[in-house]
Order: sequence, then C-alpha cells, then structure tokens
Amino acid sequence: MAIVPMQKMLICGAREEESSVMKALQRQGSFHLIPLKEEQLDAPEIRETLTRAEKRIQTAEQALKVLQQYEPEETGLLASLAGAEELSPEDWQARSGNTEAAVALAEEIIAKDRQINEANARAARAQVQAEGLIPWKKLGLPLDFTGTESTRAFIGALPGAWTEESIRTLLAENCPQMEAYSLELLAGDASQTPLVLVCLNEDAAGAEDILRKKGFARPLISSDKTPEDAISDVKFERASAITEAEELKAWMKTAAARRKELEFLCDDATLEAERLASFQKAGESRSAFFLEGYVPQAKAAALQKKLEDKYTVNVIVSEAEEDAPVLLQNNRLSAPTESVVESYGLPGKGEIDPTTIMSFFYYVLFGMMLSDAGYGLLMVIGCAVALKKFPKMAQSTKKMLTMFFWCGLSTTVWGFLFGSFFGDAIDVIAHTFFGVPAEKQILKALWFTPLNEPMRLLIFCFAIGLIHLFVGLGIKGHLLIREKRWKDFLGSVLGWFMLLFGLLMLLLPSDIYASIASAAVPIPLWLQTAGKYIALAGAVLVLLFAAWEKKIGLRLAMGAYELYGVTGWLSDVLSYSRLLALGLATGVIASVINTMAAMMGNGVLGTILFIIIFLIGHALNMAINLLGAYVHTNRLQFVEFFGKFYEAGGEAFEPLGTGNTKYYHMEEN
Amino acid sequence: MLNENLGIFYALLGAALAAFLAGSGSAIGVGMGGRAAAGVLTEKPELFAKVLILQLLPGTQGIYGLLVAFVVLGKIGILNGTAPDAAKGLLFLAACLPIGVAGLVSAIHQGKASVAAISLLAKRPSSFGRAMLLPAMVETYAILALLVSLLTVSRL
Repeated sequence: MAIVPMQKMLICGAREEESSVMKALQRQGSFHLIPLKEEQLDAPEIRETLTRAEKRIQTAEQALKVLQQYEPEETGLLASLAGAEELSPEDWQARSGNTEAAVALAEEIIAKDRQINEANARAARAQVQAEGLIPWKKLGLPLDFTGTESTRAFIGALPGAWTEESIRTLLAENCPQMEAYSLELLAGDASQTPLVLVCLNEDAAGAEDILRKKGFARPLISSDKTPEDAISDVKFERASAITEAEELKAWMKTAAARRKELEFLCDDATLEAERLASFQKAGESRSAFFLEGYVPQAKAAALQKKLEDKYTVNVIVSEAEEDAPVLLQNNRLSAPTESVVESYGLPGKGEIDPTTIMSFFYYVLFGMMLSDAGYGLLMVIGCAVALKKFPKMAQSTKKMLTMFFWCGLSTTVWGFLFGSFFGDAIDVIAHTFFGVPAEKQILKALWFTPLNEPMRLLIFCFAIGLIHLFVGLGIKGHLLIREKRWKDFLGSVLGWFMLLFGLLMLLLPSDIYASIASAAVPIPLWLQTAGKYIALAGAVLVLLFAAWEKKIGLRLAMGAYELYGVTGWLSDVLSYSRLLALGLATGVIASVINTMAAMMGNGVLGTILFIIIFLIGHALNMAINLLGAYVHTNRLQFVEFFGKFYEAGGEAFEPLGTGNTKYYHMEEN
Repeated sequence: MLNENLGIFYALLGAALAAFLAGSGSAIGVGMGGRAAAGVLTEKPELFAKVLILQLLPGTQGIYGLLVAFVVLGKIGILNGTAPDAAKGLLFLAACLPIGVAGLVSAIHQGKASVAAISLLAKRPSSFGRAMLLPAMVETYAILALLVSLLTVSRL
C-alpha cells in the first residue's frame, strides 16, 4: 500500500556528453523526465535523426509484415507468452552499431514485395488476354487485318448464336447486290458468333451497315499477329511473370532467415526514437545541457553516484513536489491488481494508494461471482503452469496471470463453500455412471447451497457490500483527518457512519427485514432506541457540515440535498446483489450442462456424448462467466468503492527506459 | 385434465418468454457489436481479443433468460418437480416477465453501448478498461430483473 516516494533530480553537464548521459539514463530506466522549457527546442539535427529513426521503425515493421505474409511465423498464444529474447546491454550496444545491413535488407524486401505484386498483376492480365483471344484461335489472319486493295475484311462477332446459313440469308435479304464475298464462322457459343467476312470494297458500306445493326463488334484485343501467335506470346509472358514471382518468393524464404535482424532493427530504432524525443524535453545552452526529472528515492543516490563517476555532470537531488509522477509498489498478493487501479486512474495529490485494500475485496468479490471450485482450480492450475513455464513473459501479462491465479484460488474456496464443482458434476456422474441413488448427495456444500437459500445469500451479499462501502468511507475519513479537515470529516464521514449505523439498527429487527430474510435479527431494545438517536444525530451532522463553508441558508439546503444521498447508499448496497445473481448463473448453467450431458444415460454412446457436451459446455460457461465476474468486480470497485473516496488524477511514472521494445529485452545491469 | 395442462402451459409460456425475449435481445445486441467489431478488425486485427470481449457483453441477458427458464422447467415436472395448477402456472408466467422484458430491452441498449465502446477502443486501444465498463453499466438492470425473477421462481 504505497506510493513510491520520489525525489527530484536536476542533471547538468557538457553538451558533448548529452547523448551518452541520455543513453545511460535510458539503460538505467529510472528517470522520469519533465519538460524543462516552454517552447520546443529548435534543433533541426535532432528532429532529422528522430525522423530517420521513425522511418527505420516503419520500414522494419513493414518488411516484417511482408515476411509474415510469405513465410508466416508462429504467433499463437503460447508464442506471445514466451516473452522477448534477452540481450545484455553490451551485446545490444555492439549490434546497434551495424544495423545498416538490416536497413538495406528491409528496403529490399519491400521492393521485392512490390515486384511480386507487379508480376502477379502481369500474369493475371495475360490470362485475361489469352481468354479473350481463344475464340479467334482458328483465324489465320492478324486481328487488325482490314482487307486488301479491292476488298474489305470484317473481323468481329455477332451477339447470339448464328449459323452460316442464317448470316447468308441476312446478307442476301439486306444487300441483294452483294454476290462475291467470303464468309467464315469460327467456333462460337450461345452468347456470340465470331466471324470473318471479306467482301468487295463497293459492297462494304452496305454489309457494314447491316452487321452493325445486328450488333457486330470488333474483337476487344487488337494485334498485328495472328491470334495463334498472339496467344502463344501472351502465354509466354504469363509463364515468365509467374516464374519471376516464384523466384522472388523463393528469395523471400531466404530473407526470412534473417528476420531476427529486422526485429532488432525495429527495437533498436524504437529505443533511439524514445531517446531523441527526450532530448526535446532537455534544456540547452551553447555548451551545457540540463535535464530535470523524478527518480524513486531508493534509487536516487545510486544513480547520482553512477552519473557523477562516469561523466562530468553535476547532479542536484531535492525534495519532490506535490505533482510528482506516481509509481505504485505493493506486496506480492496485491501488486497484480495495480493494473486495475491504473485503469481507473493513479492516486492524485494527497491521496493514498488504494491497491492493497482493494485487492483483498477484489479477490473475494471475484470468487463469489464465479463461485465454482472446478473453474477456480482450472484457473489456478492454468495460471500457475503458464507462470512457471514462461518466466520471461511480459510484465503486464505476468501481473494479469498472477491476478487470475489469486482470483481462481478465491473462486475455488467459494465454490467448495457453496458446494459447486463444475456445477453438480460429481453427483451427476455418480448417478449416471456409477448407479449411486439420486437422493444421495456426494459433494455437500461446506456452508450452504445458494439455490436452496437464495435469500440467505442475498443478505450476505448486502453485508459484504456494506462492509466494502464502509471501508471506502473509512479511507475518506482517514484522508480528511490526515489533512485536518475536521468539519468535512464530521459532515461527510462521521455523520454518514452514524446515520447508516442507526438506520441499520432500526432495520434489522423490523418486519420489512423479517419478510425478506424470513427472520428478524433480535436487537436489544436499548440498542434500537440508541440507534434511533444515533441516526438522528448523524443526520444533523450531515445537514450542518456537508456544506459548512456556505452561508447558513444555502448551507442547510445543500445539507438537506446531501441527506438525500441516502438513496444513493441504498442503490449502492443493492448493487451487490449481482454477487448473488452471477454466482447463481454460473452454478445453474453448469448444472444445465451436466443434465444435458447425462441425458443419453450410461453406455458407450452416452459416455462419449457426456464427455463432448461436458467439455464444450463447461468451456463456454467458464469463459462467459469469467468475463462477467471480471467486468462486474471491476464495476463494484470503480463505481461503488472508489466512488466513496477516490478521485485519481495522478500522472504515471514513465521513466525513459528500455521497456517498449517488442522482440528483444535489454537485461538490467 | 384440461386445467392441469393449462398450468404447465402457463408455466412453459413463462419459461419460453424468459428464454426467447432475453435471448432475442442478446442476439440483437451481440449482432450489433459484431458488426462494429468486424469494422474495427479490418484496420486493427491485433485488437481481436479485446473487441471480442466488448462484443460479448450484451450476451449475458440471453444466459439469464435461459437460467430462469431452466429453473422453471426444473419445477414444473418437465425436468423435475410436479405439474402446477392453472393459478400457479400463471404465477410462474408472471415471475418470468422481468428477465424476459428487461433482458430484451437492456441487451439491445447494451449492444448500442458496446458499439460505442468498440469505436472508443479503435481510437484509443489503451482505454480498454473504461470501454468495457460503460456497457457493463447497462447490465445492472438486467441483473436486477434476473434477481427478481430468480427469487420469485425459486420461492414458488
């Protein structure tokens, strides 16, 4: 439960050393830079190298994408768990010096990819041309043949199916004067009839007229070669385009062997770009540079010594200001839920890190919603195996899996308390396959079965909710006391505690409660009377102090409005009924699956069906309820719990470091 | 004879309403989410797992409906229990209405919220936590309806 204490650090040194100091800071990974000057530094040489680094990242990524297309690399779930390859800073430094070959390779890959696409397009175009030429294959003349000195030739196709007979009739009817001509039909089909008509020049106009009327069209492709030659030309072109593409693809395979170089180039350029971007936050004079930033207190001295030993720099460490960036640090049980807090927002000025308290409730609430020992055990085993087997996985993945490990453990506990192991799987299997009588229950709930006593569980959920909310209010009280804001504490914390406690004392023995829980809680009469007065006193406190800084009329009005917030408390508590609803949903659906699976009874077919339905059904149920439990646990934390005390708004501690690489990970020294 | 069957009929009608109204709502909601998700995936295939989760959020109402329907079936002699008379059958029918109707309406609106959340994620992939929470707010009311239906049915 802690925000890591920070110290401010100012580094100044000679400009010649700026870039090596920056490199050292990056390798150290514990210096959070803050911009030193208002306007951006106008240093064209830095901007230029930055652009160059960004261009390199882009080129490398594009080349990798191309390689992935031709020579796919395994990118499954397991591959992503394996984590990045480790590289010592010295090796990194050595390789960083000669990335020129990789740049050339990346550029070549991109260029060859373009060539492959062009070759493919050429092959496709040739294919289309060849298909267009096939009807004319038998034509012994070039396609653009128009006739001799005294004759005109018409090469083209009429739409529809024609016979030589019908065309001759057509010509005879419409151009009776035309006698000497030659007509040849090429192999056509129902959609068109290719033909060659050669006639004398004086008949040409008439013949053309009638042919055009019938929809005569010249071939789409024109060529000064005979169709047969043209087809073989086109086929040759297609074949050569395909060969070219194949050769290029084969080259891609050899290039894929050097994929690692590209990956390194990408990571190296990423680090360089980050470093260069940091330069823009630095201050510079003609011969000196200044860097200002935050360092975790525990690391400040070591960093100072390291810098001063190695470079001629002056390092000044001072107290952190209020708006220092926030880094959370928690024990092993709570740390995994830091990401949940981060996704809501980091603690702002004067706030505490709520992670530890929240993590406890997080695991409890999650477990209640999933509440099945079988699913819980699967989570525990799955996460444990993954964590053990892939120790180098990314930090964020590790945190998430650890969180689900604890959630799974809690789920297992709640599952046994409520007697649910893959629903009622044990009993169903025993009844169906081992002839245990249906009345006999093997797996009994350690506590009680929710479906039999839903009201009991509902009341329990409300109780958990009330505790959760009271803890939230308590934290707010703690913060207000720490800041010595006594009046605020009276109005918005103590008043509410008294009011709600009093109301609770009045509610528990009442008929309303008895009708819900089927038994009133016996509360001694003196406590009931006390409760009445405590509630009243609390209400007065809220009324008077909720807006104490305002004038008396407005103050009372706002106090009264604040009192109306009691309905908010009611809806907050009711919101915890989702614990019951989601818990029941898991258990009942699991039972439904078991019942369906057991429908075919004992026997070979029955057993096979049982196994299939059981596996698919529970996988689906587990997935959807995991999602539900995750989402609604977050909701209860964010809306109900954080709503009571937590504002967030802190800036994250993001040191210049080596954490944003994709393929390699620089070891810490 | 007729009266006896009428009881089962009413109860079955209730179960059917719970399953098909809530189920239809979820189908509509998840469908909307799916279209938006497919659109995002054309540009950003790496967001697949995240948009899938957002798409699935309105899917729970159908499960709640199924849940209530199943508890009813387990009480009226279809899977277990005894056949109700007409009056009790009507009670089952009434008890199924909350999750049926609230499930239908909330799933559709949750679907719309999911679509918005998916486009938020497309623009800012880092804000997954928040994007997930907004549609989840709508679900509260389906859960409340489920609770009423479930508590009533299990008490009948």
